[in-house]
Amino acid sequence: MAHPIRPEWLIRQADLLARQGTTRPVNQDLRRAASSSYYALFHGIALTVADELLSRSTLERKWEFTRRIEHRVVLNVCTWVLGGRSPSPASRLRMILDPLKTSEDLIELAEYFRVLYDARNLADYDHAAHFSRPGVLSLIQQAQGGLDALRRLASSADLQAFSVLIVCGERN
Amino acid sequence: MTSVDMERESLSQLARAIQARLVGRLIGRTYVRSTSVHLGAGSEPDDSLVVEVVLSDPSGDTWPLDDVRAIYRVVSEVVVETAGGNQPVYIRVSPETETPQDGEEGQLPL
Repeated sequence: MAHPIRPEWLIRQADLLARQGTTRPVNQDLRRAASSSYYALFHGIALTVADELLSRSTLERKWEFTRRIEHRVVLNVCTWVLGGRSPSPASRLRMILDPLKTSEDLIELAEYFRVLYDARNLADYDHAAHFSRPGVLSLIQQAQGGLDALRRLASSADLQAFSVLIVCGERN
Repeated sequence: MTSVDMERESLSQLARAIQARLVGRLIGRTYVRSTSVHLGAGSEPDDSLVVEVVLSDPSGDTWPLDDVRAIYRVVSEVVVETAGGNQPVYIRVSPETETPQDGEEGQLPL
């Protein structure tokens, strides 16, 4: 029996870690909560992109496809949606990208992804990083906000275009 | 001037710019008390820029999402204007009153 990664369960795990104890949880638990928040949103995006582009495929094939989605490429696409120019999108992608820069839901999703990507990097790699409970609860709220934005975008032209960018975007 | 001096100078320039735009401001229901900037280590070869933002204590578990989004947007704008925005930036928000930690690191029963 498969036990797939479920974004909402990662949110639940993060929330449990961040809320445990009477005062502030140990930093290690807050690190894991920050990291799980990021992965909740990353897997939410990857599964949504797979659903969008491989709608008639089996679940197993969609899961296999999600493994090919690179974190850094999702970050680049989010940066482009927010108007960032570095790294520059290939000119062939600009006609797909430009209309997305005014999509409120995509902008919201991109903002949360960027924050969580950086937070996860520090949580997992920076020995000196320190986290507060309200700060991590805010990260969890942002991951949930990103998943809500994805749901609002379901079956939209903007989501389809975002998905194409994630597949065609290049890692820099 | 060495590259280390230049890096230090650009960090303090960025810190001043963020401070000027945020400290003392009420954003939604949240006051920005102080800000600071330093380098942190991520998984990428380049260091991450860490912007520490100390906020008034939240009235609930955390701050309103719209307030945090607005603060992040201001910091991101300043980073792009001042540092070009090529580096990963982590904006860490924390409350002005830090609660003590439960137990000691490394003493958890495994």
